[in-house]
Amino acid sequence: MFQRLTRLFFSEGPASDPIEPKAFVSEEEDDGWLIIDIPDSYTLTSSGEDVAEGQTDSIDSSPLPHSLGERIGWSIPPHPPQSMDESWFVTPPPCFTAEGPGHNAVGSSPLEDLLIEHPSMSVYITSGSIVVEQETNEITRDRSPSKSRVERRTPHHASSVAAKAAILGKVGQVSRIQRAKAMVDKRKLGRKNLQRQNLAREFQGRNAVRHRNYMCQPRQRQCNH
Amino acid sequence: MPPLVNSTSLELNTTSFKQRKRLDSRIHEVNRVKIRYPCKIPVIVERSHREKVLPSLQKVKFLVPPEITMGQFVSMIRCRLSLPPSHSLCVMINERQMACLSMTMLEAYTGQRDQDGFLYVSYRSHEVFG
Repeated sequence: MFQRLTRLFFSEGPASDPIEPKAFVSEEEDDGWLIIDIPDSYTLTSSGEDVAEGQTDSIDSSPLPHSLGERIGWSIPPHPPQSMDESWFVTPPPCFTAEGPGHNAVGSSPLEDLLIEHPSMSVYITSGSIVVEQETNEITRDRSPSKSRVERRTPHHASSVAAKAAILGKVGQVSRIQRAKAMVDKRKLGRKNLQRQNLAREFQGRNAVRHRNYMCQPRQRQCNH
Repeated sequence: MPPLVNSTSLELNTTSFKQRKRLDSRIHEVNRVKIRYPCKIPVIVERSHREKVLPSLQKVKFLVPPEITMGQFVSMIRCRLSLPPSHSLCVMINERQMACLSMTMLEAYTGQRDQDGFLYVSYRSHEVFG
């Protein structure tokens, strides 16, 4: 009995035929029928009657589990029990879901926040003069540039909330200054202004030496002839 | 008797099971096999007439248990044909409908059986990358 059991469990591995599947038992009927069966359902079907005389090589492994299953009353699964022994996979692997310490260390440094907010790093400012202006403004305002600079570089040492508030206020001021400067620039670069400038220079040039080495926009042609 | 067997096996390559047998004889066969095996489904598995590469099966008449799925049946056909795993197989029901592999044979049989009581299944090679 135990021999049979062990033979059932341990002889299935080497006895596996690569051509004939273990899950199916196929028998051949005399008038051309091919009976497909799984060992599980073997007891359900009316297989008591003799099926085929010419039971060929495919049948030779089937009587053992069949008779054993009948005797013990087990239903032997169609797949061998070894297939359930594999380890389980956890579908999102823990490297994606784990809340590691590195997550906090990435974005929480106040210095980095400052770097992002700092107007000198901004992409929208092209000229460096604004920064200089802001620096001078700073100096006039709180008269201790070294202290403020220390605060800006290392705000997480000092009381960082107040420092941040001050910096934010400065940033707002700087943006206002930038806007005003941009407005002035725009006005300067207007078409009318350019024309007027050119005309003024021309008058000056007529009175003084006639050399034109400055660029001028093409004017409206005056047809005097 | 042997020459007759030879002639039928020659015919088997060219004509289908339906063309070889008349309707009443097919119905008679189904009834006989159903009396003998009441828990089995009679299935005819043939090579598709457009198939050129795959070999044809020696036996075309199958009796399958109703609870196995179409996928199990297809894998059984693969084993019968002894196909390499690189070759893909496509199984059609009634030569026109692709078999759903999760369907059990009983579902396929009740839905798509022929008027004679057989379930006709044909196989052909599947052009995967085509």
